Amino acid sequence: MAKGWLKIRPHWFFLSPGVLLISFFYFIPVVLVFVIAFTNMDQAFNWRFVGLANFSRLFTLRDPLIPRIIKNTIVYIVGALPLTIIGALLISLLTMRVNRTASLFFRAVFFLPRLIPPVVWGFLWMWSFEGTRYGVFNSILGSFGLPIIHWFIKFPMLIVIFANGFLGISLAMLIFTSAIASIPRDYLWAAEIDGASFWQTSRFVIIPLLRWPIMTMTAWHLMSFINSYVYIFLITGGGPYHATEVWALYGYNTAFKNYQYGYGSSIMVVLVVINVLLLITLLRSFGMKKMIERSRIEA
Amino acid sequence: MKVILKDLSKHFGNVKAVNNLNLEINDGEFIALLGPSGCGKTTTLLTVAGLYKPTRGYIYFNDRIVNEVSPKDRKIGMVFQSYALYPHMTVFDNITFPLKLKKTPREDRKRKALDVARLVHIEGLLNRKPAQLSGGQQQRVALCRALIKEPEILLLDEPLSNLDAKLRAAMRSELKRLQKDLSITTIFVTHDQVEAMTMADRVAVMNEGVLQQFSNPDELYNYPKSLFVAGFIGSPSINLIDVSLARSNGKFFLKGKGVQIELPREISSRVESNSLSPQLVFGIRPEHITVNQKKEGIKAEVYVVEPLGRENLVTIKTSDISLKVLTSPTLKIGPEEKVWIDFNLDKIMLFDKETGRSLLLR
Ligand SMILES: Nc1ncnc2c1ncn2[C@@H]1O[C@H](COP(=O)(O)OP(=O)(O)OP(=O)(O)O)[C@@H](O)[C@H]1O
Ligand SMILES: [Mg+2]
Repeated sequence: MAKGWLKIRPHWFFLSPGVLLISFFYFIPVVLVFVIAFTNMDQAFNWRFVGLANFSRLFTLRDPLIPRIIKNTIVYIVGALPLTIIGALLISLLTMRVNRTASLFFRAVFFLPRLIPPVVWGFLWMWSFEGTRYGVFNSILGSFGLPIIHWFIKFPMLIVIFANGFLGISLAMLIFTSAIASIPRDYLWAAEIDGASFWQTSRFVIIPLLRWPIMTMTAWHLMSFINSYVYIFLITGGGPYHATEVWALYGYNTAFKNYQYGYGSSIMVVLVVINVLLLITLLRSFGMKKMIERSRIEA
Repeated sequence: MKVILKDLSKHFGNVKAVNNLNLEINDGEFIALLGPSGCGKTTTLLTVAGLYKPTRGYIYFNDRIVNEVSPKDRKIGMVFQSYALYPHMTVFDNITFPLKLKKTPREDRKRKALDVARLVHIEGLLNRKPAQLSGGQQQRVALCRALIKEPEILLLDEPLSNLDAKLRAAMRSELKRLQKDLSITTIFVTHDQVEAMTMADRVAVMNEGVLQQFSNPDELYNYPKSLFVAGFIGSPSINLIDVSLARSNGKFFLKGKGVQIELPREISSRVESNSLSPQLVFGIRPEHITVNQKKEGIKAEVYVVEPLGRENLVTIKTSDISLKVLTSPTLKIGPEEKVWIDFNLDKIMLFDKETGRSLLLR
């Protein structure tokens, strides 16, 4: 009887929609990717198991693009991660110095990227750096009588880094400003009396107190930059000529543009494995457990 | 360094945190800012430190107006109520932080840190983090950080209030001694009157942003200028009774509910010249009332007896008023016993009920 069953295990009843959704959209796809990675599934969904063939293609560099993709991924992360953290720190610190209204204004401006739909954000960057004279920056150059620049050919990676960096900044800045706001006023006053300049206070007092938020945001954005390719996909699609193609995007393109589902899946499996390893490393080195237990700032 | 506050006001919107404060603090003097919570003590201190800009008025260090001088150039050392020790730095780094900012060589920093640490006996704790220290130790570290700059003015915001009673008493004498040895002009904020009275050379009593009285502890206790000061200072607190002034046959009497006191000639003449209205408040401290069983004075009844060890605090009721009296433990009395009380008329205080001003002071 339903009533009796409910009485015994009501939590399963209430959990079931969530459990079903999660297994359908998270668990099953992961398992599927792992299975498909060992096949040669193609456009027509014909497949048979090929053992480790896909992986040996990856690791023995029989795919000539792989070194390039790896290099792109590293450059992208090494560029976007510091930009995000340092940029967000700078903005949060500087908004301390201006009055309340101005600070609110600047924070709102830098938070805008989060509120803009991804497609619009991507389109804005595309349009701004459009290589013809109709692009925003080129038309500015043009109005000064300067020659146009083929932005996407000259600086494709930089554009992609900044487009993603600003998104990273918007979140990290929000976290940092609220953490700064919760630093007891006495610390800042004590530093002021002791003769610390604004930068000295930032360096010796504020930033050390933000250790946990900074670590959290670093870990968060590291994972996010490794895995998300949406904006690169929207802005350059990985081009021109693979110049901005990072690992995750390469997996996507292989599977859904070149319809090599099997090979694409194996690329994604590598990504999943990297993610797991990274997560374990982060948990260990940052003491993620401590991070979750502790208050946001050490006060 | 001499510190003078002239017509100093600090307002936050409508809140007059400090209102028209005038103080003159001598070089090397130890003064306490005393008052109930929210009376503007911290605000005064922060304004002297330069962390707040005065709304009006001037701050002089010696003969120089320092209103526009930034906190770091005021040569002040400050201990915050929270101590504000940086949690991520060791005790050594905390203490030497002011020197590090001035790019003092590490050797000098070490030497000076040891010197000040020895002053307050924390030289063994230099490698610890603040979280590994007790409240009393943290307080000393904060003091060291303030002293290492060799400040000319020391500002202390309730530095003892986070300590337990025993440690507080110990630190009281230690701090007082240290201040005398170093003879640094010191402003000490507290809401604890015992602390203020025992430590400071002079005490500035504040209420609602306004200075009530600035004098030495003895004067504050025996000659309070206002009803507020009389009521605030002293523990157990003073007895205050509403009375009216009456005159008959050339003699002055204080008449309250069930009490009638004849005033000595000396006092009555002064009251007569000072008082504007006949509504007065009569004040007498518990130790200036004597209790006897010999039927001398006003008849009363014992309500409670609270033994304090050295003496007993007795609450006595006569008609509608209750009075606190300090008696010797040798006087054996118990609740509901009939006793007679007498006032030491040399020690009475009289205040104008409306203005709260003392009528006995010129
Ligand atoms: N930054 C501020 N903004 C607005 N009002 C303030 C501010 N700082 C203090 N006040 C107000 O000014 C008055 C005096 O505050 P202050 O902190 O000086 O009191 P205090 O005497 O130090 O009290 P306590 O013993 O509780 O520390 C209070 O009414 C307080 O609410
Ligand atoms: Mg205070």
